[in-house]
Amino acid sequence: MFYHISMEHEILLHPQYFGPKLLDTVKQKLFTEVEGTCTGKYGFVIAVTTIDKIGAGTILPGQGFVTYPVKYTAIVFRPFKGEVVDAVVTQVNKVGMFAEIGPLSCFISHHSIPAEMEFDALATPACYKSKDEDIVIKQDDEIRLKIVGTRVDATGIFAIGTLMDDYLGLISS
Amino acid sequence: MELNYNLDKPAVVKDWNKSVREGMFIPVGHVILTFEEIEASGAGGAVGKLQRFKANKAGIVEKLLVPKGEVIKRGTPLLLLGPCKHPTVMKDMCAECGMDLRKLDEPKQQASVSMVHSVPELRVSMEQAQKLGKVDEDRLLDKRKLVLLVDLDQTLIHTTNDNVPNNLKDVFHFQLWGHGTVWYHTRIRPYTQQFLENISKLYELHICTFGTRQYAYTIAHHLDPSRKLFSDRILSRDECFSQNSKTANLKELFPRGDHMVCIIDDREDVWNFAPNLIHVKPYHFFRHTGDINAPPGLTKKDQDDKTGFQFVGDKVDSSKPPSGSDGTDGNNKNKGSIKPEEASNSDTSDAETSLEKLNVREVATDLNLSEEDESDNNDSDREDVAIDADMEESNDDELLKTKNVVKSTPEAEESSKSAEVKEKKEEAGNCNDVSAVGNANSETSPPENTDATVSNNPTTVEEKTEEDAVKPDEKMEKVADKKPDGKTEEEVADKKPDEKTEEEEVADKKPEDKTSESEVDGGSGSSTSKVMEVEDSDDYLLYLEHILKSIHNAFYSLYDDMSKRKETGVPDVKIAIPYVRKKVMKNISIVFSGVVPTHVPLKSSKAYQIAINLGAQVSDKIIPQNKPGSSASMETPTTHVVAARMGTAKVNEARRYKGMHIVTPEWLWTCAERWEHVEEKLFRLDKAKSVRRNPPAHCSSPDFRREKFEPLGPIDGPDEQKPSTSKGKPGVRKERTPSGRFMDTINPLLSFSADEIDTMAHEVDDIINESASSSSDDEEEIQKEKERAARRRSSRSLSGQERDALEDPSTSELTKESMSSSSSSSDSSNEGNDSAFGLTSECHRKRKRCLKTETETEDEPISAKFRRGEPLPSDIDSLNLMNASSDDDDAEGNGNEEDEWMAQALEREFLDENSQSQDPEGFNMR
Repeated sequence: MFYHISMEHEILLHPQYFGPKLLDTVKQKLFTEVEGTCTGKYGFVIAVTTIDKIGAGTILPGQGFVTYPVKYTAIVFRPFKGEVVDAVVTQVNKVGMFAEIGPLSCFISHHSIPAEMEFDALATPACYKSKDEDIVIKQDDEIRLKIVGTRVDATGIFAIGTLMDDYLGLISS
Repeated sequence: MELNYNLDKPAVVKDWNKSVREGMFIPVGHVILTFEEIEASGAGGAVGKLQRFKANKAGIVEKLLVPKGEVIKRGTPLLLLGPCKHPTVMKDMCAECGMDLRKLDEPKQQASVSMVHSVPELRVSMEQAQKLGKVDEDRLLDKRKLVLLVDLDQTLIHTTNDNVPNNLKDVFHFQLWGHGTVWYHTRIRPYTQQFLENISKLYELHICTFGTRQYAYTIAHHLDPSRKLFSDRILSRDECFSQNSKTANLKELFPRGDHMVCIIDDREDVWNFAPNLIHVKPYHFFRHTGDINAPPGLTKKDQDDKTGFQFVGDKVDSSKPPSGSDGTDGNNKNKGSIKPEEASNSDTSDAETSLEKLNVREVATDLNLSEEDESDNNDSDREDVAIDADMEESNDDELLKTKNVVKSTPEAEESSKSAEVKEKKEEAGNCNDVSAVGNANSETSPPENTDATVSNNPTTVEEKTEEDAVKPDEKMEKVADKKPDGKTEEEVADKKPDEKTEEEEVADKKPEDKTSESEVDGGSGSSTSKVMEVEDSDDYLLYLEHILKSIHNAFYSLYDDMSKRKETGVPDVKIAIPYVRKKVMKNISIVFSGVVPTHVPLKSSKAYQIAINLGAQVSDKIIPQNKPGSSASMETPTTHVVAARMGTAKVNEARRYKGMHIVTPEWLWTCAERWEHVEEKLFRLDKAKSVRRNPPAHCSSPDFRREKFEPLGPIDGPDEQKPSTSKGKPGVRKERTPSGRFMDTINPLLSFSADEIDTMAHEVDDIINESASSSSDDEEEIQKEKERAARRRSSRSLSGQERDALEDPSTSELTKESMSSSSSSSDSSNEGNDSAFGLTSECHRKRKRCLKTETETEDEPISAKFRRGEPLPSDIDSLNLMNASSDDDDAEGNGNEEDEWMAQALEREFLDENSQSQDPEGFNMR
């Protein structure tokens, strides 16, 4: 799920940036340091929308570095168990398939793929297809899946998905 | 745990969801059945429309409690559910129920089999693995396919990190790790595309390589851009469980066993000598590079030696003639552009000893060769452009060239020396401008010192010595080179029938790496035009394709048989492969003559094993053909006599019988390599033919090895290897034999006469007494010894044979002699300074020498044997026979071996702590 939330971050700035463009540098640094990262709590930080407040900098004694507490709002993506998301298939094998939901990678076991879909190793590329071959899921296809579990590490999230529910599976477009 | 119906209105179960079966995992929200609501009164039948009931609990279905059509009310148990057993686990998360297994207390996990090549984190339980494996197996049987595990390095491709021209044909270049990182240059083996294309119809192809994942994928992309052949079935080093064995992964990838798995690889050890392995002839394109992705410890070096030695040697000599004939021209070019670097060369080697001990040996040995090659190659390029690329012509050219080479040895040597420096230049990146061109030994002019860490004067001296240390190699090389050259020439000149057949073969483009001359052809042909369209005579894949096809055939005919007889089960490739191999020499009965040394029991000789593995019968005496009509005796009559030389009793006897083939061991080796009955005419025993008594490494079939060495675990523990330096196979040096002493297995001195041995003993004593201060002397001695042996032999051959072309070899001998003497004199002049120099340089040299010995002596199979503490029949063989029959023998081809051999043996002895012992038994053995 996507959230638009406000968060805080501390920017550590080298004295060489002290000058008229100081705040620009702080903003720039915020973007680079925050966007694309992943925290266990909030998930993936997709984009910083606004920088709400750049607090007063504090000079670190003995170093000359300055820390600025920055309040900003950002769009974050936090997957949840039970959530239904659209994904792109990245790899298909006999044990299941891997898919990516933006930055989140997800595995779907072959048990969680409807039984009528069978793995076909001989096709190029390998795919899961229904008996009458009207549905074929292969690499780079878009699928809709339901997340059944997530592992949230400090640095990343991995998800387990399923296709075993209504309206899940290949998105025909 | 029960799953209950929890809706208010009673209903009739219409149908169960198909996916709700026993053993299936049901997640929450999963549709388990469809139902129709009925009136609470129960009278009116179905009222509502079809609805789906979704699971409100997750778990594994253990039992369906309600049959179809049953009326259910609130609270009616529908399913018996068990807890999820987590049969599929991805990154410690159950892929079925989504549970995080790290949060569970129980550490034991069912899922342990990593079934997918590219995702080792994805594990499934054994049960699951079996199921999936079964599916795979059925699919394969259905499509009548087998599984083929394909190795990359030196099987389908050859990759080097060295600088190569960027316009070589069929070579592609890539960097794995982005800008500024090391370049890889990969040559695809000839016929690879065709091979893969054809074989993929019969086999499901998997890549199994010790390269990194990225490397493997890059190569795979080049081999198979459409991903038709390999798909995601790529197993790389990143996914390998063991650092130096690929066998471990096999069980995981094929949980139902490897009975449908065929392997092609250029080394057997990483597969633990599996019987379903087809040991392919290593592909060696870039001369001085072995397998860049060899497992640690069992690295490059031995591989390099194995193929490298014959190949490198051959290639060297192949490219040599042009440079020689180029004469001053080529040399001048070299001198102008390259020579200066001689200095930096020695410097680098110096520096490297201190910085990077690993590379020392390379610098000392490999690079020498390689550089030589490269520049020579260039030369030959130019030349060939000038002349013509035509093979025949170049052949003739070669004839001339060879003569020139022999005569202009010093020049050639120099050019090669300078050549070797070339790469150094590139490496070191320093452009010393040196005018000094003259003698290699006087080469130590100022420029060198630019790099030198030591101050000027001493440096010069040190460098000199360094150079000397390097030199013997070169000379060895020289010796190696020249012989074949001489022979080619001679053979070309003589135009003997065999030789013609050889040529035919070359024309046929059959790879005859063993016959040096065909290599010569290939080599010179190889460096033909500016486009760098390298002509590669390697066509092993054609044979391999054939082999694989017959295996496939055999397997499926077995399978058909079994299914006809209503037997369930699947045949085993491990049976099919030996079966196919044994068909090669069916109905052939072989007698060896002069191939197996007398004191080695026939049955333990390698030649015997190879023949047996090919299905031949081997007897120790010739059994004549039975007269027609007479009842066949127990033994089949002899059909082939495999003889290493003319004039043995058996050969003479065989001559009396018609239709009995008298062939060289080459015939057997070639059969073993190609798994087919090679035409005997190509290998008729002849005086002029060079004979390899030792089978090439790749010929040895896994079968017998396995029988013998099965108890052996993984070849070399990594720990074992650490103590000794660099890439060699360290264990070997220490444990050549059970007793640890080389002498006990074989006495290399057998081939010397008593006086010679005395002299040698004397020399050895001297050396030992001198001990540390003059370690360079050892080499000198060896060199001398070698020279002496060479001279002796050449003189012998002179007397013994009616050779018109023999002038050249002898001259070469002489030139060599003079060279050696010059070098030795410089040695001695250096000695004083040397000792003043103290430990470091000495150490270097010593180490280098050690390394060198290792490098030179280690032939893969031999070392492998050593490791196992086996005697070395083949070597003794060659020695003994050589000695006994030096008259008959082709002096050029074999003598060379002999030389090296003796030198190495000697060297080893010197290295040995108790080298005093000139085992008297050894002499008695004669």
